[in-house]
Amino acid sequence: MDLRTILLVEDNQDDELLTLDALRNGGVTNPVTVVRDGAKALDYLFAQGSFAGRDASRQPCVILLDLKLPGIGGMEVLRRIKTDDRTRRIPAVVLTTSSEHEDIHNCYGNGANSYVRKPVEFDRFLEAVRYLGLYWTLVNERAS
Amino acid sequence: MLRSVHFERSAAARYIGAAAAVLAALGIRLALDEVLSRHSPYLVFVLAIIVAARFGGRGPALSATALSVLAAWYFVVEPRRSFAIADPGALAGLAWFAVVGSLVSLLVGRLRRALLDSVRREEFIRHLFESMEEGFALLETIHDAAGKPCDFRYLAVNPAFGRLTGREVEAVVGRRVREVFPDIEPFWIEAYNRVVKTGVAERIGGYRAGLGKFLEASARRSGPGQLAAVVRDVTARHKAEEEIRTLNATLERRVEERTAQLLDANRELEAFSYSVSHDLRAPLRSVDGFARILLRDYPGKPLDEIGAGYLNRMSAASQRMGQLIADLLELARISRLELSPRTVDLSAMALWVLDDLRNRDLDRTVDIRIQPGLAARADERMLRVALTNLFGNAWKFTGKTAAPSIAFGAAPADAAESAGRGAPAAAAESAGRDAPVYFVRDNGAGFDMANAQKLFAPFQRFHAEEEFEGTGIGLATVQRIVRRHGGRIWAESQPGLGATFYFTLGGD
Repeated sequence: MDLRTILLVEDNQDDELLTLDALRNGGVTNPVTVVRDGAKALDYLFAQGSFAGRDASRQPCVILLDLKLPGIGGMEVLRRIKTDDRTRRIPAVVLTTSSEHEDIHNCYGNGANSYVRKPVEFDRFLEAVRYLGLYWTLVNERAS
Repeated sequence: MLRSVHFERSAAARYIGAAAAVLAALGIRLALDEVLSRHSPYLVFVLAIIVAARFGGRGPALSATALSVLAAWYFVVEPRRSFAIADPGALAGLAWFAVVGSLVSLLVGRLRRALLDSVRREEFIRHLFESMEEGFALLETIHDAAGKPCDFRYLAVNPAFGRLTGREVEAVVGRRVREVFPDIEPFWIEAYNRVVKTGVAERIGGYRAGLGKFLEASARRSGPGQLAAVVRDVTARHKAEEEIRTLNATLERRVEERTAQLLDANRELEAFSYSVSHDLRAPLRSVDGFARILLRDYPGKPLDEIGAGYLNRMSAASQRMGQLIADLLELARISRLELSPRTVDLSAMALWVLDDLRNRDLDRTVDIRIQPGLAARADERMLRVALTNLFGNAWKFTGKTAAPSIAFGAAPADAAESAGRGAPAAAAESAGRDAPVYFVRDNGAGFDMANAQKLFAPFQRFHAEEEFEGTGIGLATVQRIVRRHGGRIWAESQPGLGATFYFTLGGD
């Protein structure tokens, strides 16, 4: 089976490692592409800039998006991918430590498919990511 | 009122005067006996009574009448030098004279009283006229050839009017208003015309540019074609009102500014607490996460390279958290610190800060240019923190530049504005026209101007952690320092071409 990519947008290397560890431990075997900021994420998704050569027809099966990013923030990335026909069908999951009501509200308002707080306790984080990984990559019927 | 007393002679003088007049009349009567005896035996006495009444009043006149009757009886009526009467007709004549004399006394006495009253009244009015604080002018309408009222003539003005208008009273009376005050605003004449025409009194106020005063005139018609105006100088009142208005406006503006500042502070605080909760959790998550991985993957096993890497990450996360807390404390300290401004040698401070950076990173060669002789009134400790942050950034973000250079200097406000374009220009303007604009320029990594508005918010980072480390609090701290000095900070940059940070330190 040709497993599709998971796009992880995360600038914090520790969080990246922990997320990858959680995905692997949760049994998710999909390849993961990591980009470090919002601009790179948009470049990847729209196959532009440093990702100009990428095959844009092969979009990731899910985007794991940190809200707190240098430069273009996660919220702005979310808004742009959810207002563009080329990318708005890709499931986007917001991963952040934030628990502000406004953030949650804005994320759903901008078309986030799921919102998961990165809990400080690793077990809960693992559980959340595992659930997400299984759900989005294995269980959910992809819209295509 | 007091001055009219002069006209009122003492009672004794008036009675003595009356007696003297009668004596004089008697003398004249006896001297001109031949002429007067036949036709007007008492005429001279009547004149004496009139004189007594005119100058002495009713009482002395009646006394003079009685005295005259007695004198005439004794000296004039035959037989002379006796009160005996030869001719009964003479007695009737004497009685008639007594009656006429009394009547004349009463009439002339009353006349005198009326005269005195009117003099007294006039005195009173004149005194009032001359001593009143307000200017007073009596005016008369002047008509042009077509019979339309076009001007006024001063019939009378008081000294206060002269003082008020800076003219001699003599130079005003008898002249036309437009002649005395060629620069008078037309609305005065128009209002005066209206008052004369309608008879409705008016209060007219306005600025007399020629005199540099705010005047207020109460004008009322005092007769056909005549006008009486009482003029007051209300400049002081006007100024006070103006001041109150300005004060109110200032107060309103201040309230608005303060409200805006409070809202700003509130927003900042919200963003701040949000960021604190986010950024302080991240290192904790790392520590906890890697600790659990180690527990899971290395139960009773010696650590390999990967495990040691996790430990290193935990250590780094702890240090990062320490740095975050230190930076946060610094930011809080800057906000609390009492500002103690003195003259600071900015050039020397810049040199010191950059030397410190160089000493900590001896491998690097950075071209440093500092404009000499820059001084400003500022809090030295705070400014050192600001420069340390700005130069620290410049040092950090030139870390991957081939020929790094950092410059510090001051630019005239308009030059910085024209370079700044748009929002920065407005910032420079609001910081005060004369305030020098300082700049810290580097040729390092730069940033995308699209995100410039986030630059100074705490925890905003423009580069991935792996690229350039930092907590994202430095520029927030710099901004707070600059703002506490009443200044503004803004930046311009192009990714890959470096960044320039401009700041002012308030008005002077």
